[in-house]
Amino acid sequence: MSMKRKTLKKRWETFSSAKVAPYVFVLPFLLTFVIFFIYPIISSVMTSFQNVQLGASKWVGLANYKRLAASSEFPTAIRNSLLYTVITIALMIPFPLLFAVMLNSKSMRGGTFFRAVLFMPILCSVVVAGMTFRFMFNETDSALVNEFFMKVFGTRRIMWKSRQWPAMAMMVSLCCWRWTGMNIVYFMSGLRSVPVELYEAADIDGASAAQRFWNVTVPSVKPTTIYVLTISIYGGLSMYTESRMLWDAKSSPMNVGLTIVGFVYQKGISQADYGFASCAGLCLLLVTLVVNFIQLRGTGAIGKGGAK
Amino acid sequence: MKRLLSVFLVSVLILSLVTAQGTSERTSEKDTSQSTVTTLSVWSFVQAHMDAYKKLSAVWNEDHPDEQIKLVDTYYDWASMHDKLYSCLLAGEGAPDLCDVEIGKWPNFMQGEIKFLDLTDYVLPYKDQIVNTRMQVYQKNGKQYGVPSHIGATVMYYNIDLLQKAGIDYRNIKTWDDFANACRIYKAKTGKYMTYIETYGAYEFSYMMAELGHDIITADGRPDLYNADAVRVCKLWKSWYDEGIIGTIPTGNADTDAGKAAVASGEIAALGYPLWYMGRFTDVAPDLAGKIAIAPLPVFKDATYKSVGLGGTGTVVIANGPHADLAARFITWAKLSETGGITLWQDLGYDPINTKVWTNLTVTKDPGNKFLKYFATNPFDVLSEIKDGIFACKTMQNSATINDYLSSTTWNRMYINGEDVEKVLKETQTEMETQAK
Repeated sequence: MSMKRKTLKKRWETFSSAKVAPYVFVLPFLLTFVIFFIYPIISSVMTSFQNVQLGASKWVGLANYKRLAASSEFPTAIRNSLLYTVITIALMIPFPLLFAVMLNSKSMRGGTFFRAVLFMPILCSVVVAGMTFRFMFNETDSALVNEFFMKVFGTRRIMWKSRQWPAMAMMVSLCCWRWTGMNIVYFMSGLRSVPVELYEAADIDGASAAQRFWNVTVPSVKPTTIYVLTISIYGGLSMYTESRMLWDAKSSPMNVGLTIVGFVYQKGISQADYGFASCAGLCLLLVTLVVNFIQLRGTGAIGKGGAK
Repeated sequence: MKRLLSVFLVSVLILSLVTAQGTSERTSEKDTSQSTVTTLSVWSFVQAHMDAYKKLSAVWNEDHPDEQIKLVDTYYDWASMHDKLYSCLLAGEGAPDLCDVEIGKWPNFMQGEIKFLDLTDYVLPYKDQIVNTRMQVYQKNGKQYGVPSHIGATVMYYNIDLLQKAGIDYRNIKTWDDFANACRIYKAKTGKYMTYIETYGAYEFSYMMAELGHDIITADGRPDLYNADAVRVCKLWKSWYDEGIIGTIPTGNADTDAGKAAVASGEIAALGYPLWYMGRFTDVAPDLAGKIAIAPLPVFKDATYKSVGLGGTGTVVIANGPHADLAARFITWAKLSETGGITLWQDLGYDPINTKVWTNLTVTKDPGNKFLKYFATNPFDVLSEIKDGIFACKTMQNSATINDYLSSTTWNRMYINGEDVEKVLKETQTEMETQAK
């Protein structure tokens, strides 16, 4: 009995020793990562070489890849996703940063109130928000946005859902409405970590507000900016729910609202072609990896210099 | 105090995590007060269908006191319902006992192993009474997998009121030339469009092609979009559009909320749609009661058919459901019997598959029937005029892809972007061939 207790005790001690403990702590993340990320990716690769049908699947080699290369809709989806990502990043990094600085400044009254109000759209379900925007951007004269444009700017009825740029504007506006608050929160927490001495030094050197912003604030929140950039790239390239709700689960005219994930969903589930969709999904993975790698390398977060 | 608050918050979070559970569907229960009542789950994208099935289940229960049915209905929108059904069948669980499968999505379920029950034997008792060409659409390799609700024969709906104001009598429109002339007169007299071309969906294209006896797919399901008939039909519609005598409809389709609103507000004076669209009129356009006439479609001089069955929903029984046999007996009776046909006609305005209903004068001449009261002409009269010339479109493995592409790209390129018809059809055919399975 005491032999057993001794071996158990020894096992527990080894288990909780400094050597083994780190692996124990990392294990939950590792397991989740392997089960929910690595396994599906491997499975997707295998599925992309198959024609998946109910019951059984056939191996078809590169047939799906050939169809993807010949498809005229997939380049449209990639173009839409990339354009959407670039535009949303161009709007969703400078402006929230500016707003964060404004909300953070001492001369701002009711900063907490505005921060809470700007954050509220994130709490709203994407589905509900998408539906509401769909009605707002209806292509009739009496729809909210058209009425506004026609009365205030005197334009003609704008076909928000059928033309390339109005559709892009519609999707981008939904994103801006929804995510500005989140980015403001990120940047505000980033601003908190900027040492006050830097600002004081800048003041002593006679820097104006703009110079303080460019030369102190922006470089100091670089880690936050890189983080926001990375998740925005991922978010932009994988956007689907918004475009699905805006076109009410139907194909958009000339595929103006088709995104890469939209393409994957349309082929995989709506047209019952899982193998082909897996192909497209892997392409999305590749595109996102490449874009993010370039971005992280370019901002210096990874690579030779390491995080600066 | 703070510690107490944080402990409280944590316990609330844990509690909500633990008690949050999805509800599981029970598929059968024993009602102790009477003999077995079997609960059957049914999904549809049209609530009115499920209401009709529930009504019929009450009739069934009277006739079958030992095998009573309780239907539990769940509504999903068209796209979501089919996506969900497909996912459930692929995963092997979660599917209902009965499900409506719309014709546009039917091919998705006919590839690989078919998960629907073979209804061939269940349909046999009704074989002599029903329109078998409509049944063929939902067959594969000679086996019946779905039960349709109606024939879906396509007709022309005319707003007599609006046409009279332009001095047009719809009864004089027999050919497409007559129709085009009427459009011209209507535009000249009222400044509005008599009809429209859909840019989402393909009914106008389909019914003209059907008159020429041409489907959009070949016998083995490959796309057949670039041929003389297709070019002729598209050029005809395009010429009317370019001439300015027809318009487009909001959202590109007359069966959406905005499309129905356009019809209800009288923006459209003529509309070529299947008979099942009658229910849309009665639901959405009560002001137009008595002003809408149903007439056969205008025809080409060299047409070999007078109409085509379009749209349609085949109700299926999931093969490995625990009550598949009972569900199959119920649904085939509900949709194919005379009683079922009468209910579907009276409640939904569906042209019945059971031909005994057509000759049942108490039904077809019923002055109290809401559809007969609403429309200026009797749809059964129109049906008997066209019944020998109804083309049956096939729906096969590439149909969903083709219809999606036509809706998103082809029609928009032709009409909105104004590109050359032949070029667009040729490129559509090429794209569909590379994407064909």
